Amino acid sequence: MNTAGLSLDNIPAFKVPMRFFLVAPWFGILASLCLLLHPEAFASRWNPAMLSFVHLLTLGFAAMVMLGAMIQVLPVVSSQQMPTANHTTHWIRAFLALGCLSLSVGFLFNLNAFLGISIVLLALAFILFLSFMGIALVRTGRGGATLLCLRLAALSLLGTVLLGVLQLSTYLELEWITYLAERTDDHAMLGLLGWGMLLIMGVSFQVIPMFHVAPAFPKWLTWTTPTALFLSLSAAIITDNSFHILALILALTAVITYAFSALSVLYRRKRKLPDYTVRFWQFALSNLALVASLSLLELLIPGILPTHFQPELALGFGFGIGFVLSVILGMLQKIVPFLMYLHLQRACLHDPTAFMALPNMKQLIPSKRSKWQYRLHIMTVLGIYLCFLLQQLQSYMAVITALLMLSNFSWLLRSLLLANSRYNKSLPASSAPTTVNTTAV
Amino acid sequence: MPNLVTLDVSDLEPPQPMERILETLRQLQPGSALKVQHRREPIPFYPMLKELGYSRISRKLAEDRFVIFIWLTEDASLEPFCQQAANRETES
Repeated sequence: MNTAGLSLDNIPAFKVPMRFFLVAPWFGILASLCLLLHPEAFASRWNPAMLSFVHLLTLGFAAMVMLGAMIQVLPVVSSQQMPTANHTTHWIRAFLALGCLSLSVGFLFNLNAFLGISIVLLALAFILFLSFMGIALVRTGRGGATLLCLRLAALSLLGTVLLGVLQLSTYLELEWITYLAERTDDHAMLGLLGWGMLLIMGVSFQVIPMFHVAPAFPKWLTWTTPTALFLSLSAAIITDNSFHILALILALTAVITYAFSALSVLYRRKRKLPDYTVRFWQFALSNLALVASLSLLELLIPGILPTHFQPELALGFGFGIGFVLSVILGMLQKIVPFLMYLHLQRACLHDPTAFMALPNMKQLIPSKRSKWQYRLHIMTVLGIYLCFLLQQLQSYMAVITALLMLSNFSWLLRSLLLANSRYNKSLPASSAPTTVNTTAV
Repeated sequence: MPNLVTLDVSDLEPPQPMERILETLRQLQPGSALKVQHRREPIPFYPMLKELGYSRISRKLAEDRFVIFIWLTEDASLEPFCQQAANRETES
């Protein structure tokens, strides 16, 4: 990324992204409760509880964190102040939260009215967010590989939302549109491999070398893998038969290349001190390599993965929870205390007494807390895999996994609340919690 | 002749580079400037430097090698000194 035009003066107040981060774990808790009350969810991807569970995790938790993080990052990347950023973010968060709740209730209890409401709310949330993101990415002009990833991720998100809204419209029994199972496949593929994967790729190109004193990613890789992934996903959506398979093979090859390259970059980091964000990254990337390799194998030799293990669902969860959720949890352990520390430093610059008493990053989210987050998450992912591997015990395993997941998200919520409370207490008395930015709400 | 103090933070994890730079700046003698060697350009740090009354010039020497010259803005003699030092870095 060309950093010459970056301006940290345009960063929104810290409480803007933090509100997204504090809302997100509640949706993780709701998803866990949904699974706990409906352990039969894993029986089929079309099970109403499964649809509800998946959307609580992807929209309520993952998208909530990702959107919050982007709202912090985009004004910096574009060097532009978003005119109504702080007010708009309240609406984005409210529409996303209420839309996700409405969608989950609609799926779970088969209530079409709730699905109808969710279409409006979610469409509004994403129209606002994508306009915000679009303005930032268009104004920036040319940029590096990270900006390329963000642009492609934004396009993928647009496609995911359009396909989702279209598919949801079929529940309203409108005459102009018919239900297509393939549309759900494309929606999931674009959401996970497009938006999720490209966003994480772009962010990792910056944050892994920066936070972990690791070498830069090879330049050729930072341009070819996102481009190849986006083009092959687009081709996979518009083609069928052998072209569709070929496009998917290309997409998975790009993903596997990225996974091994990122693992290699992390392995070559200079300071090999114990760090739970690094462990989360390594765990996430290992899951990604495993899931993408197995998917590729299944494409090359159809039927090699036994159908009684529900490979489609197992690989989807391996990607979603084993990779995406691991990255999000790991990044939160690092980014939240880092941003808090930066904002505190600036807020206390002219108050030497407050400056001396500032907590360091490790006091905001201590390693011990991150260690438990990591352990709980590993057990959650293991539980998910066992749900598919131990088919005869699937319902029991689902209950155990739901309890582990509940502990995982509750721990995250506690950790973020404690860090936020320490942050607010550390601000100098003369300073409002939003001192860092003059454009705060 | 102004004095130039060199600090290498290339192998430190964030936020240690910022902490070390602030610590060194506090101990800097009058008439001295600081030359920081870093693997990245520390963008988040610049507004803070400005607020503290410092100016800076940065030069990218390689993809992962930057030098940043920092001096007290009120000391006018340090600006041309740091400019020259920065130009020498680019030329070498």
